[in-house]
Amino acid sequence: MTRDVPNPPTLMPDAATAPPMVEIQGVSKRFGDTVAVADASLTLERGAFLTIVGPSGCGKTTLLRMIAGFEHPSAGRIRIHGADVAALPAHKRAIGMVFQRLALFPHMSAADNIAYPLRRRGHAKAGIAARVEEMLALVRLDGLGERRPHELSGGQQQRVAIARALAFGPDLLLLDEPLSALDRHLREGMQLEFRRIQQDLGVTTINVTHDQREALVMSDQIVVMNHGRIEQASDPHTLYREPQTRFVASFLGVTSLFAAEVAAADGDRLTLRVGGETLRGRGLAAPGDAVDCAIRAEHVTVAPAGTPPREGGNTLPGICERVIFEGDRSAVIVRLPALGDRPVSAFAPAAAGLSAGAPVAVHLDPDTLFAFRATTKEELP
Amino acid sequence: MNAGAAPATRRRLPTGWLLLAPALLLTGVLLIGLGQMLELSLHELDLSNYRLKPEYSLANYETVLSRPVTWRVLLRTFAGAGLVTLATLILAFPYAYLLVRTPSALVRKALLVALFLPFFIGQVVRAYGWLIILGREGLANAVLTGLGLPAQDLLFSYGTVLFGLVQYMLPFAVLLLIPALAAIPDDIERASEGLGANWPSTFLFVLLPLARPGLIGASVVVFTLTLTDFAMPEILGGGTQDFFASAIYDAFFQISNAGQGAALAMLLTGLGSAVVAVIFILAGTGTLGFRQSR
Ligand SMILES: Nc1ncnc2c1ncn2[C@@H]1O[C@H](COP(=O)(O)OP(=O)(O)OP(=O)(O)O)[C@@H](O)[C@H]1O
Ligand SMILES: [Mg+2]
Repeated sequence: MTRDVPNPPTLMPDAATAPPMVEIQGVSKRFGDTVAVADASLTLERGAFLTIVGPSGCGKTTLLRMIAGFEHPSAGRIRIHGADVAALPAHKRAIGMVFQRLALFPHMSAADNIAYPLRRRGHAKAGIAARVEEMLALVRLDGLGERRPHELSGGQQQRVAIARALAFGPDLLLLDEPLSALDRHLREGMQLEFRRIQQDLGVTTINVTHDQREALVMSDQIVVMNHGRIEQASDPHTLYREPQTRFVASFLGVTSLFAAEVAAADGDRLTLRVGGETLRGRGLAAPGDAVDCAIRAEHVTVAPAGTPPREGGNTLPGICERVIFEGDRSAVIVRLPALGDRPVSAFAPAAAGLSAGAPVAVHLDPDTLFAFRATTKEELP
Repeated sequence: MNAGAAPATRRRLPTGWLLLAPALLLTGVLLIGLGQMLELSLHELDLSNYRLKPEYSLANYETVLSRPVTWRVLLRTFAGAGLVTLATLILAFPYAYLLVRTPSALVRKALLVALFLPFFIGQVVRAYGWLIILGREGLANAVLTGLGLPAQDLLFSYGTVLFGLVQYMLPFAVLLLIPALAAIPDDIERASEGLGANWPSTFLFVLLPLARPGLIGASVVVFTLTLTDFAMPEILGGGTQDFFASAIYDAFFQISNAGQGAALAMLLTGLGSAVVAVIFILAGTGTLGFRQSR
């Protein structure tokens, strides 16, 4: 299956003159019968921060390991600085990597861990000591250099791993979910701190995470992977607003899904038929196509029944099933008879006066109701 | 809560000791044996009646230590144990590493089978096997003459004895190295590589230090087993390359001088323990993986 992925936005002003930092073309990796990565292509400009998201086992680590040189692609080409790296062993690639399980050297102190890449690269002794101090200060671990990894907290080990990966001034930094083991508070602190370090040093970064918020907040570019494929690669705004596949639409945010049939199409404006009602939405499909529709909770408006309907239709009657108070707002789950009583999630102001069991009018924003041609027989969740 | 915890701790202690009892008993028996050996070594043989004299003396030690042959055999034994340990570790390390790291289940199985097969063949049988292969008319010389080279006297040399010992010790060393290497995460090596270390550097600065507990354990086991080995030097050396155990055997059973045999045994035990103690002291307390959290 090929899909038209829009050209990734130009992220740095000098991108036109220098070759991209990383170019991946049609890369696949098979382990026996398992296809870990399938025909992945992406381009990353110098200085950019790219995040890879996707469900467990979708090939994120494998893709990183191929860029780092720990695995060889079964097919395709990887260029770094415009040069094909197929024949370049990992130790000559000048890439810093922070592993999923950190992989600090347990027999060395934090300072020795950080000095390791400098020593192996033959830096002068005096320079190494100064650089280690500098890196310890950068990750706010001054004074803890003599501790062994097991004498440090999880967050501190984390920072040693980042300092070690950055110490030799790599052109490219790969982060494989290094923050996943931390509690949310610490993680969010580290995210900000990391973004600060990354911007200070201007190092091009590829980050893998399961944390949507982290992806949306930190990245210039997000790649969504599923089953080894890149579903979409774009900047966070586009990704969130213009999902190109059902998977991307459902992966980010709180999304409701339902099946429909295309009645008419005018460009990407679609008229959809669902359970005897007519809805308007967007997508690339032809009349008669069966489609899966996705809409995010924040694009669904719930009002007490009897409220005058909005202009342009797309308002369906429903029953309010649950109202979950979330502090600043309420999450509302409504059931729409037109959608076969499928639950639809929405957000409402905490003071909207909704209660479970009440009849409601549900408005689905036609600009953000996305329809995707149903390609799989997969049951809708 | 506190009231409940106290009896539990009190109850736990005797259970622990009970579980230790068999091991303590065994060690105790060994210690008694050692004590008897020590006592035996302090009685000189009375050549008039071929009984041990009842009075205590250091005469056996004096005799044994004054004989050049004692020192010669001692040197041969310790040098042999050192060389065998070194050679075994050098061969066992890549074997264990491959076994742990290979992605192929087939290769792993093949390596395990190849490791265990000779394990089930006793040392004496194996030594006789080598006797046949390395003999004047054996397979080795057949290959040599087939290649147009002159036949060699391969048997009854120091080198052959050491070769046989290395071949015998290899599985022990590999088995002791496997858990040590398996405990080193794959990613640690990848990390080293990614940080700019080529393979020899990764080996030297990461793999070797992290494998140290296994290496120390394996060298102590191989060293002591070789030090006290009897069959290999006896059979492959044909009496010309005796190790210290043969000297002890001869004292006990050839010249029937139990006192002298015991003195020789005490000498070997003492020197062997000293070497092992030095290894442990040099290697530090964390050696066998105690107090080393990963
Ligand atoms: N060395 C390997 N041998 C065989 N299969 C592998 C190997 N490494 C990865 N795989 C398989 O490839 C697929 C992708 O694995 P990968 O580790 O890249 O996933 P991931 O996206 O990083 O997942 P997670 O989020 O859980 O870390 C999985 O199905 C995995 O089982
Ligand atoms: Mg992973």
